[in-house]
Amino acid sequence: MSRLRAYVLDTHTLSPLGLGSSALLASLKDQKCAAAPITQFDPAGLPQTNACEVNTADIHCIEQLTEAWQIVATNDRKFALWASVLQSKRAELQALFGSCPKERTALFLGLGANAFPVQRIAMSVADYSAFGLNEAIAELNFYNGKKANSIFNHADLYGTYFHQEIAPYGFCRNLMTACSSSTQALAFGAAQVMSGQADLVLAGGTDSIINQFAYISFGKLGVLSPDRCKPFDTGRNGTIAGECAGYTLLASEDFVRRHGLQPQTALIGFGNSMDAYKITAPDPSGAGVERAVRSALQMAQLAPEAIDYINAHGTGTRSNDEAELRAIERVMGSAAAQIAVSSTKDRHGHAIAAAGIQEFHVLTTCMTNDLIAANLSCVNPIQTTLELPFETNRTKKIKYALTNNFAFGGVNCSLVLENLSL
Amino acid sequence: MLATISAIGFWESDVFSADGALGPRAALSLNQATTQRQLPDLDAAFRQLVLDATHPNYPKLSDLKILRNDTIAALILTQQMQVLHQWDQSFKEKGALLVANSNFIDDDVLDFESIAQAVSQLQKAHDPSTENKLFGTGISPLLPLRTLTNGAQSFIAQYLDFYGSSTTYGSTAIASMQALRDACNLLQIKVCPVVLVGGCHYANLFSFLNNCLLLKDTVGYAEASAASFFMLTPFDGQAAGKNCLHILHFYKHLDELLDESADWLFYGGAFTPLQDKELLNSCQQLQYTAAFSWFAHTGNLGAAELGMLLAAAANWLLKDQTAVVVLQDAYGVVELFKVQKA
Repeated sequence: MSRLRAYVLDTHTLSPLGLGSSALLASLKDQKCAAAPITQFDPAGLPQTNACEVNTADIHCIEQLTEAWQIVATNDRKFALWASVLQSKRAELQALFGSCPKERTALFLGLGANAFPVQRIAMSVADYSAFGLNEAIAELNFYNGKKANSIFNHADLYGTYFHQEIAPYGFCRNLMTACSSSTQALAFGAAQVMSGQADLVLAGGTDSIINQFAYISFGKLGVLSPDRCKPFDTGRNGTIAGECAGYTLLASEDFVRRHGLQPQTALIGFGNSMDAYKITAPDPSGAGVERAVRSALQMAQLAPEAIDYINAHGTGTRSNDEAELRAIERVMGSAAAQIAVSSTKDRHGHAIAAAGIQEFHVLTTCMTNDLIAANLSCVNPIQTTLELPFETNRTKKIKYALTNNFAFGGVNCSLVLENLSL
Repeated sequence: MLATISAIGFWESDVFSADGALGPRAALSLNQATTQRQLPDLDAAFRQLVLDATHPNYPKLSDLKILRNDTIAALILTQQMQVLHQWDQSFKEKGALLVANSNFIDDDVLDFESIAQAVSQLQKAHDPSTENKLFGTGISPLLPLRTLTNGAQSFIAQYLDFYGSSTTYGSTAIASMQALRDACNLLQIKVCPVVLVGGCHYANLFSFLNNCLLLKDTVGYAEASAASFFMLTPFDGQAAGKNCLHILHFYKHLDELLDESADWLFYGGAFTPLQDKELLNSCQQLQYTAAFSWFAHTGNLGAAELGMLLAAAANWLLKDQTAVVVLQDAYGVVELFKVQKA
């Protein structure tokens, strides 16, 4: 069976490292670290007060939205990011979706959990208790009928927005597997192209945990570092909160040929696995991670030594980093020393459901610019047979690369990319 | 032909209705299918599933503090189906598990007044020596787990020792259709030999209030907690001779039904009796002899609705009969496909 490919036409993100590919490349080359004190809410009293936030100047479309969408954007940061990233490429997206029959297009979105505006929900629930259902509904009738629900950021909102404001499409998927959401959106989006069910798929996602509810939840889980995120460092003590919205456009060979396009990269393999260990902790042996990486390589029909670079999940938490390195070591075997592994989460933060699209964009940018992003915050690296570049970025041609994301609950997803220009 | 559905299991709870009372709604007129056969053939016992702690597949005590009723039902169902259909190692290692979920908020997260209070108290505390250690005093440490979007998927994997490919779809009823379509894709590109697709919906005040906010008129709105699962294999799989359904093809638009005919129409996703009627009317261009919707019996079943419709189809279709299954989401998106009884 010949190798299956989903061609990558373009990748675009709005992240703490900037809007679009050139801003991202500049940030990566400058070794920019976006960690800074939180501005979106007052973090006083919390042990961690830093996060990687998207620059407010990059979120410029809110005032252009209709009233109903503005309400959603005000209550739900990940929607504001999503609308902004789409609006910044509106014309290109419309032209591209206009060039493909609607039923041959699809959206695959990895989405975060609800961003609860806690005070507002408390009010709505109190109204319900005090007045009964219909009165409470009448009170909220302003939102009603406009299909912009103010208290629950419904997963359908993001696809609905695209459909109404950017371009109609055939089908949509909303994948919600915490930190692996948008990675899986890319995998399943590629499957939709590879199975011949679609010619053009927009795959990506949006998330932000920089709000009171999510931030305190992650704090409760004990995964936020009280000082700084240090992936693969022996002194690592947690990750740093981030946010991101973005997408990649995956196309079939037929679509690429018909439109005379010359994509630089292609998604050629994915591997999903479950730990089936404990819902509250990843399998410390990394067996699930190993299965995901192995099946991604198998689907891509590649030997481990073909991989030049791995953009790791590398959260900087105690439980993730060592298990991930050991799993990769087992898969790579004797080839380990030639394979560079790095995590860029200390630079852009952990975007949770959008971590997949954030790091996919980092990876495609590295691949097309012969760049290996260093583990900037790693001073005392974990002992490993793999190459862990630190301090400064390196130059290297990358023909094949792999990216990992693992989620709470034991969901693992790996993607394999091919550089078509080498 | 896209795939074969070889096993179905389902469970439904009491109805959470607009008149404030829990229990079946008598006010709505039942549609014609109530007088048809009940569900005697296919995994019928699952519908009678009662969530009592003495059930042999009941979750471990330590897990119960973070499990909702629909997830408990999903765990019991999938374990029973595993035994009944003798899923082997190839499912556990190479198979896929795709779970649709239409409400991720558990009851103890509903106390938003307390959460809001705790958050503001915490912010006012400014006492690094005590508050910092506790990170959110006054908020249940289970809070993040109670809103975990992939909870059902992860628990099922843990209980079934499932190591394969798996994801969760979050949406309304249409989430289960998204899962079904991806299941067919995975079978077609041969990365998985078998896929377990399912849906869970938890009806509570939060879900109820939110869904009502999407409606112009809440009269007659009701929803029930439910869980349903079905097993897909490639069309040329080993389902021949069994009580199974073949998925023939997906349609892109309702308009395509103009030239189509089927013995049955199974439709779902309506929120009110009026929507139920409108949805039926929008399918009038299909030539069919009988129609069925769960709505009048159970109200909105969210992401569990597709499995329930397929269970109905598996039971009510006779050999070689066909049906069109139509599902609508809260935003009016309609997706449909055709099935045939083997």
